[in-house]
Amino acid sequence: MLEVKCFATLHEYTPDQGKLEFTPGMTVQEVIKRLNIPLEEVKVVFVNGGHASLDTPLQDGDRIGIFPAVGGG
Amino acid sequence: MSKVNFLAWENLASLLEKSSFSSLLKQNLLPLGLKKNFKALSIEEQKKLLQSKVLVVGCGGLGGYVLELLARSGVGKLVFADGDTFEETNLNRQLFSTLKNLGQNKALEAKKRLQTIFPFLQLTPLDYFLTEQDLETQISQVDLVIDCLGGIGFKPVLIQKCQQKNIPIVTGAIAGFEGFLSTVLPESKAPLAFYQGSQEEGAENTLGSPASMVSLIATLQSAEAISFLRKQKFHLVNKVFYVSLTDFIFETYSL
Repeated sequence: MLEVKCFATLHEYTPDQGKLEFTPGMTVQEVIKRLNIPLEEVKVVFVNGGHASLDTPLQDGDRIGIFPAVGGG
Repeated sequence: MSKVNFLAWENLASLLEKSSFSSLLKQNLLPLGLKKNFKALSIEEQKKLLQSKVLVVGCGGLGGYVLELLARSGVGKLVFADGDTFEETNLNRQLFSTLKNLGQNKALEAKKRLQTIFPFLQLTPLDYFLTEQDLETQISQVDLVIDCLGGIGFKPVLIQKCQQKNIPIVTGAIAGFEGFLSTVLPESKAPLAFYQGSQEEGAENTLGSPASMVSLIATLQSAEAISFLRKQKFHLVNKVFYVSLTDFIFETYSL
């Protein structure tokens, strides 16, 4: 299982219980696709607390945070 | 610890007619209004704050609280810029906005407020939006910059200018009940990915800007700034401290 949390305007895309089934060879981009998040709205992704890119390969148990642009002051 | 004398403003004001503020500091004479900063701050640290100069870019949501906190902490020299005027939709979160000053410039109003707290502070309001050229001159003259701009449009320019000019910047942003901050040094990573896209793309346009979130991120930005000014220590270089008040998540990510 992957632990996935979507933030700010992407909050609604967080999967049920924050869990998503892991399949070997999965990347960040596939998680975004699986959750039906519009790709252009994703600006930042962290995996296990570190900065990641769309093609970052994932391992079972990884924690993923997905963020849109945030700039309010 | 050397002995400090705290002077009530009346007495300090009359001494300031004859002596400079820095000469009073040398004699360990400090404003009574700062007394409760001790012993959270040492005398030496308080003196460092009083002699520090900070540029705050934006005097609205984040900027209002940041300025208030830096001023009350006794950061002696504050330069702050905003070309915008207060409007009624600012009242939910912008500390210096009131029904009485709608239509007035935010930086000039900030000065009015801060003067009534500590008249000994050196306050330099800039009542216009800083251009890249303005940044060239303003950034070089300060110890630290705090990014309190609203909207992703100009934030990357400000951060990159600070990196070029070798001045640290504490950047922060919010959207709804979420927000983050990060410290950027000349050679460090910057959270520019959060500021990608057009001004309209920022999540704050959809989720709004509630006061609890704005003031929280402003508080953390101020704390990071004060940590640097008093002991040259930052906590959030190459990191993003992200807060969600929806789920009470406080998380530090590596850039």
